[in-house]
Amino acid sequence: MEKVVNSFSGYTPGELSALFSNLSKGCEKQYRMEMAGLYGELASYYAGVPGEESTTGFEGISARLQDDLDALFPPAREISTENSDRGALRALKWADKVSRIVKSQLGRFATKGSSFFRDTNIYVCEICGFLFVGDEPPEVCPVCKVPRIKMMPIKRVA
Amino acid sequence: MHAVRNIRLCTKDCLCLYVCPTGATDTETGQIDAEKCHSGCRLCVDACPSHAISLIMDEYPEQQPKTDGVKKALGLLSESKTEQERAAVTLERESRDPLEKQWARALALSNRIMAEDLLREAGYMLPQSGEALKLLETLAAAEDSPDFPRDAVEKLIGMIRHDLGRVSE
Ligand code: SF4
Ligand code: SF4
Ligand SMILES: [Fe+2]
Repeated sequence: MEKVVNSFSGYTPGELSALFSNLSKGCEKQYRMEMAGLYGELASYYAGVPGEESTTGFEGISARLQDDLDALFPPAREISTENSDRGALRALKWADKVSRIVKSQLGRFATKGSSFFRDTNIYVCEICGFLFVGDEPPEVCPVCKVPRIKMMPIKRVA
Repeated sequence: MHAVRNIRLCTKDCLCLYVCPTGATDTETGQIDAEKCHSGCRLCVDACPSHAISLIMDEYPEQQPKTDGVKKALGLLSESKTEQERAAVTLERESRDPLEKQWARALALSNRIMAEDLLREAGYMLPQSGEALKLLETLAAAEDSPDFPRDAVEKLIGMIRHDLGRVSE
């Protein structure tokens, strides 16, 4: 897949937004609130910059996710292993697990529509992105093992 | 090193106020005054009954350098995850069904968190690193949109150069 980038940085606007929101969280962990706010400004700016937007709809998301699993994770794992990059392997392991879970939930959504979570809740793990549908989130995140206080409930807004 | 207080854990027993030799723990804001906490002596850390205080480093070592191959492979994934995030954000915005909106929000957030983690491992772990500085400088030089938050970027560049001990030219 051709990577359309904001050529001077090598990253798409969507990636820059995530890169800076991540650095903003990094500042909060160090209690550097002013710096966190500045990175936050950059994250919001890039969230609003249009990108390629070649993926659309729930089906589009599903297809892209399948492509991640088939075409992107295996070579990424391979090269990180070759380079003995333990950090990269750790991130790939989490994202791969979360991707498979999301993929199966998207499958439920495709067949049953939103009825499968009508009478229950949705949570997302703040640390790894694990998506949970059910009344109570598990005691610890099955992917990254943080305690359940890090599972954010996703509100239903009328 | 200097001390920081987690306000959520602090039960206001105030032992840290008695032990701190410089008065750094005694502030109006609930935070410890980093300017006064020169020594990083740990007295408050050990005294606090709630384990609310910890010491953090003033300087962090740079993250392990990443090879181009790893960066590129992680970059393809973070690109894909943020594309999926954006598709979900659009679905959330355009849908009028509260359930569908909720579903789209969850997908957007999950993808954002995965992308953040992948980018962190692609070399952007520390907010005050040389890598972050380089990226900010590149953007500052190249971006010409009037909406680009130039003041914020210049401030960040100044802060990081200060942290890294590089004097601004
Ligand atoms: S000793 Fe600990 S609990 Fe007591 S005021 Fe200080 S930080 Fe808070
Ligand atoms: S580490 Fe020492 S100087 Fe710093 S706030 Fe704690 S007691 Fe005060
Ligand atoms: Fe998790």
